Amino acid sequence: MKIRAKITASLFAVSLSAIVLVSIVSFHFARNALLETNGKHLLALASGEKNYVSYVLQAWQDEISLITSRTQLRMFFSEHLESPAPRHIARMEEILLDATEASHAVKKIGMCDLQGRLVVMAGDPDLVHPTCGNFATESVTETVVADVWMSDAGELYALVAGPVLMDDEIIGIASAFMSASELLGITQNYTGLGETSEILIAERTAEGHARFLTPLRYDPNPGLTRIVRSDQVNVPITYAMLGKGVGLIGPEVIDYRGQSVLAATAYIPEMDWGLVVKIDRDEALKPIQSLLLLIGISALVIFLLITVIGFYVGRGITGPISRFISILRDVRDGDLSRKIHIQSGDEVGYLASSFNEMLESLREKTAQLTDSEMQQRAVVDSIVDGLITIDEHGFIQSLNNACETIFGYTPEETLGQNVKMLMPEPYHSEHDGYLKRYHDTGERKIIGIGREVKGKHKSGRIFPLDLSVSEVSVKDRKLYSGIVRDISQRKAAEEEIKQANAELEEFAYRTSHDLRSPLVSSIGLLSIAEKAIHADDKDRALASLTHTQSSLRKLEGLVKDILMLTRIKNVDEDEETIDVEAVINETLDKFRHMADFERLDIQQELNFSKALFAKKSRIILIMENLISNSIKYQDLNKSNSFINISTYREGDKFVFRLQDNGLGVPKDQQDSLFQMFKRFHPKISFGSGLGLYMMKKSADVLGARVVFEDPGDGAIFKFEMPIEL
Amino acid sequence: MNIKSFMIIDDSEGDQFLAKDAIKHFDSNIEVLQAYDGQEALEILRGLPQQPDVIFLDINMPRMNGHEFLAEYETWENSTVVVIMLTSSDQERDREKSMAYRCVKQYFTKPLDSSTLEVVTQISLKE
Repeated sequence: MKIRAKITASLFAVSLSAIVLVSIVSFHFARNALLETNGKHLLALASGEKNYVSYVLQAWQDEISLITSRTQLRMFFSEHLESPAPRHIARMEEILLDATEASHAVKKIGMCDLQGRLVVMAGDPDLVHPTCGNFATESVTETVVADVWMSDAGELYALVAGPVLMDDEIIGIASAFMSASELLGITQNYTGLGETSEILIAERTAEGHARFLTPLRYDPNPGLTRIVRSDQVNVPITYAMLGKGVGLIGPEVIDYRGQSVLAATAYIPEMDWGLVVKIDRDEALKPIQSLLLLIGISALVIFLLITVIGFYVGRGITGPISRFISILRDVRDGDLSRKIHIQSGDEVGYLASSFNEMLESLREKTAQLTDSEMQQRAVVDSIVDGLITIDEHGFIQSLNNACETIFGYTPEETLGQNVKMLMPEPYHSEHDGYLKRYHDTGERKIIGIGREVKGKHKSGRIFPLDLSVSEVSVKDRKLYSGIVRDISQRKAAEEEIKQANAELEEFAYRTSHDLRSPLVSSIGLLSIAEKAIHADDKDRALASLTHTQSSLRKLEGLVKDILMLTRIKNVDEDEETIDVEAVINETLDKFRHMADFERLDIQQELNFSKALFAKKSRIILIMENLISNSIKYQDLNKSNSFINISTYREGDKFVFRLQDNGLGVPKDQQDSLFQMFKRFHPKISFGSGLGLYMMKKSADVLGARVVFEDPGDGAIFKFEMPIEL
Repeated sequence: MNIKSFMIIDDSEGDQFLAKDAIKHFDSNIEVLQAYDGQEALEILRGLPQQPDVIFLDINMPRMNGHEFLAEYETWENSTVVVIMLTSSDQERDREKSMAYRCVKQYFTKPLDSSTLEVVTQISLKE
């Protein structure tokens, strides 16, 4: 819009100044030309009329001279002067009459003697000069026009006086009254003079003023009474009376009417007359008005044209630019697919094609950037560890795919939220404080250091995380980037190792103690035996030796169990098909020799008919342990000690159940049942205390478990192992 | 003043035999009480009109071990009883744990012999 206005305004201004300039110039030019032309015309006229007036005056003089030079007239006049006789007057009258009739102009003519007495007169007797009467009063030496005047009737007359000569002697004066209407013909003939111009003739009054001789165009009646005073210097007639040659004055001179006129002036010296040919300035310059009008109309037309042109040209420029702008807006808003279609060969067109090229380049770069970003994204998403970026207030800016696996939340659920949602207490409440403290103090507690923390899964489960945080500064934003690794498994493994180590340590302690103890005892006991033998105390010696034996036997059993234990954990064994019933019977056979075996009631309810596919030695160990314990820990005070062995399938498990009514396990010991080196009955001293512990380890290897139940009287042990159906 | 009664709390019959033999040889008039674990010992001690002068206490016993026994026994009114640890364990932690009990005066490793008994007698008489 602005451009269009600018263009229109500039065109306007230019054209306006041009028009104004041209107007002024042509105005002046035209004016001067007109004035010059008119001036020339007036000068020509003035000059012409002046000559004509002179000619007319001369003609009158000549005409009268002709009459006065008539010989007969002069003879009769001279004779009359010598001897006046009526017949002379009659003869002179005759001649004069003849002359007046012959002449159109002469109206009356009279002759006077030198004393001024009228001798003869012919013509119109009523025609008199206002002041002179019938005669020119002054004597003349040659024929001159004495005066010109206008009668009351409005007719112009001239009085021409001339000498009457006889033999070169002036004997009298002739006075002729002539019609001066030729002068009127000069001044009253307005043809070719336009509408305002007129020719004026004025005589000088006795006071020196100018008096118009002929009627004025604008004031016909007071013809001979119109006087222009000589002090009116700016009036053309005054100029004329100055007696200079033909000249041009104006156009600022004012005529007798008060109008500005252009005038040419002339002087007729014979009569002391002034001649003015004048034209109103307005009339002289009238064409200029037309010019001005024409200029005005042209200007209007031009302005109109300019407005239209300016409008269209402007539009031609702003149109493409507006289109340009609208497409730029689309690009700014993200639409890179636009293209500008401007074909004009000018700069705008060039701009458009450059822009299109730039846009193309931008599209390419954006595509590259998108690809690169996608690639980066893919890499980030492919890493197993979680990558979370937060801003300095803790709000999550981005997370990779692994985070969903680790924390259980989808990106929509977490983006923009505060990262503390992924933390359990106390981290949850303290995180804001951590951020603030770092922000204020710059003290690094975790940034660049790495730490083990706890995370909270969507399900509420709390798990250990390895967290390392780094600081990212992008322009003026501070971001923190954290790598999280779910170390539950590692922790579990660590825990297992710790446990195993603790077990091992415990084991080492206990075994060293339990191995040493019987040895130390044996040494002491043998020394007593020795002393007893020296002292001939057979009973004491035998008692000693017996105790020694049992100590060493205990030692043997322990060593065996320890070796067995290590084998359970370390030796790998293939699974094989096991006949459960056969194994049980074999075990019972093995223990047949044990003390108090016969008094037991062995009950078997073997309902598991299939074969077991498992690691045989482990199964045997478990069964042997359970069965031998029942035998060992029978309650001798009971008369109906029994062992009930049953096998069955429960769901997807094989169950080996053994119930007895023996000594059972004291209530307060039941929790530590399967720990190593636990013995629950002091008097029954053989047994390393590792039996149940070994059984548990064997069960672990089989993926099974051993369970104890207290039936109140005795014990129930169940071995449960998952099987394939 | 003589020592009149000892108690031996040990789960090993062999060690009981050894200890009793040593004591009898030392002074045949001393009464020797025997218990095979902490629980049995408490039962016996509860029923006594008079606590023994010295108790020899093993650590590793089934049902109730030496430290568990001490934890209970210390709550009883028995300021004169001298408890001597007699154990196979030479672990420092066992020693420390044992000596933390007020009534435990010494910590010996097995076997019990006459020189040990001499020391024990002296300790007991001091109390």
